[in-house]
Amino acid sequence: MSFTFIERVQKFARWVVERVYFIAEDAALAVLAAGPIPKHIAFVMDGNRRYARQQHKAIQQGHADGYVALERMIEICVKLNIRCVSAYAFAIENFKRSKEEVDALMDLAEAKLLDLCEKGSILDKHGVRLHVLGRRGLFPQRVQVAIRKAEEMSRHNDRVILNLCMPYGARDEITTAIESTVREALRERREPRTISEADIESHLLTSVGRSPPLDILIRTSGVKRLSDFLLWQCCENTQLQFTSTYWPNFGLWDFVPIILDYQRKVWSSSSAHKRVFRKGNKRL
Amino acid sequence: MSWLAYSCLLVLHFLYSIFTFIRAFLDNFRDIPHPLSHPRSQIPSHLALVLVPDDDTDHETAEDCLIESVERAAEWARKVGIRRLTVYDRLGMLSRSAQHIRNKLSIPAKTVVPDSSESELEYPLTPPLSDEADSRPVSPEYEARDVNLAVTTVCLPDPQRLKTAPKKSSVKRRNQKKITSEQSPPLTLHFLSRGSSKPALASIARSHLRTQSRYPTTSQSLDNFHLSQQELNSTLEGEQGFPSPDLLIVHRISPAKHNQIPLELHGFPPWQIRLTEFHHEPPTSPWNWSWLRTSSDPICTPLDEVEFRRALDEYNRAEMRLGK
Repeated sequence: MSFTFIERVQKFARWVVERVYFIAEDAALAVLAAGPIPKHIAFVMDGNRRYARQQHKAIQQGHADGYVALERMIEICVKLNIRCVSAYAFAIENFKRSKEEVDALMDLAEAKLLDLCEKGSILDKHGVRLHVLGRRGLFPQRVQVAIRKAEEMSRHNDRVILNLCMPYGARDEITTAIESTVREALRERREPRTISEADIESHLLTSVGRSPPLDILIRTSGVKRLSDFLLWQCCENTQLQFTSTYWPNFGLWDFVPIILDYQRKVWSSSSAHKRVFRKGNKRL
Repeated sequence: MSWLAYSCLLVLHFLYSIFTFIRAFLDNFRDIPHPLSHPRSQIPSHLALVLVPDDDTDHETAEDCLIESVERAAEWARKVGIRRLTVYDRLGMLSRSAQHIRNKLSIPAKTVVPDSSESELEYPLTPPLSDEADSRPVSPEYEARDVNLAVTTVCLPDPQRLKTAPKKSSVKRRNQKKITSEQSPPLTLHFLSRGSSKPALASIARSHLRTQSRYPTTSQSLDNFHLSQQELNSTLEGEQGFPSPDLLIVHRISPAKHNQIPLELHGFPPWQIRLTEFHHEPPTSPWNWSWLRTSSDPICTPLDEVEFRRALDEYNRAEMRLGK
């Protein structure tokens, strides 16, 4: 009897802790949303395998936990009214991994894409429009079918854009964009001198999906490289944030300082503009 | 309720400022990085330096600081064995001062245009520097006419070697592997600006359009036009361009307004940073923060050796998995 009572008390305590945590999370999101919010955030979801090794789990489980983290971050971004989320799900280079791991990733991709098509999924619940950016022809047919189904199901959603970059390479994207620019210019018989960087930008995969400019790029697991991800999009006015947290562990409390840094930048920019206007300083 | 949320946000920012202030202060007591001469298993063969002045900084002051940073970086790069140094500032102040920097760093100096195979072609002394060199075809079909990658390249022989080596007036090709122990490898400097970035890619697009426009345009010819990554890479990283850096340091020469500023690339050419390691440091000296200084004159901080060494140590620890 007393054992059952202890179990009930423990269960109740866990429920209270969870409720307090959810309330604190919602309160934190409401506070953050009172300031400037980025329109487009990209994630390099790095560290699934090292996380799995650290937790003594199979590599496939690490990737599965990584997907849970992605869903968690998409929900957070939706609550913050972030317009667009891009995630580096699979690089063209990742085909070099072992066949066993690549097959497991294809199975995971197919299963999760089909889950996203279900009623009540994150796409349905939050009005998320899915774009898969990359050379999908490199994927097995079953994955391509799942991609088409998920994109078709969400194409009328307009609250948030989710770009899943897979299999993706930024140099491949830039090359294709230049190729498309030249072909279009030939078709329209444009003068070469009229071609500008804006034309190339309009042919990028992110532009085709109407994604806003990239404000923040976050890479987890401590690596400080871009690894061929969104090179064109992030080389100008994007904050690059590198965190040592492994991706499956990444959550709101890792995200808060990143949003605070962005808000400081926006506030600094607006006060800098006012200061220069007032002082009439000689600008570079 | 929005005023309540906004007030809480201001409190949160205040607490975050205190946290970052303490962290920046404690960073002053970090472990001192290894000296330049310390043996490292991984040294970048190509280092890039992005120098960021503030909009409020006086032009002349900023330029002097940029030049000093380049001189320091070149000296340390030589000591460590880095053979290629790329320096970038968005507005191109360094590109315009390339001649001046060349003269200061190496007397006399020779201008060469290195190719990506690491063998070097030396030309007789023929100034001036040019950042709009005539292009060379990268394939029989495509001729890179009027491609402007806006990259200024200078090759600086080791000053010590120049004092003892006899002058050679004829053109010669020198294999890097044949350099004797008495010779130090030369340092190649690339000067970049925003024009070397996305506008350079647009220049390549225009060049391809000009080439394709010579032929009759049919739907079949449109489909036949293909651009490969290899071709684009050979143009961007070839003779007129510059290769991908292994390590890139971003250094703000003007005092920061905050003690925590995330890394930004300020328009550095996107193609070459595919696998580049990044390094930047928040300002650790609170007394340089603009809101704490009493003087209205902005101060400029050139690149310092501690930051340089710390970047090398971090690069030494980096693991490259290349997708695997």
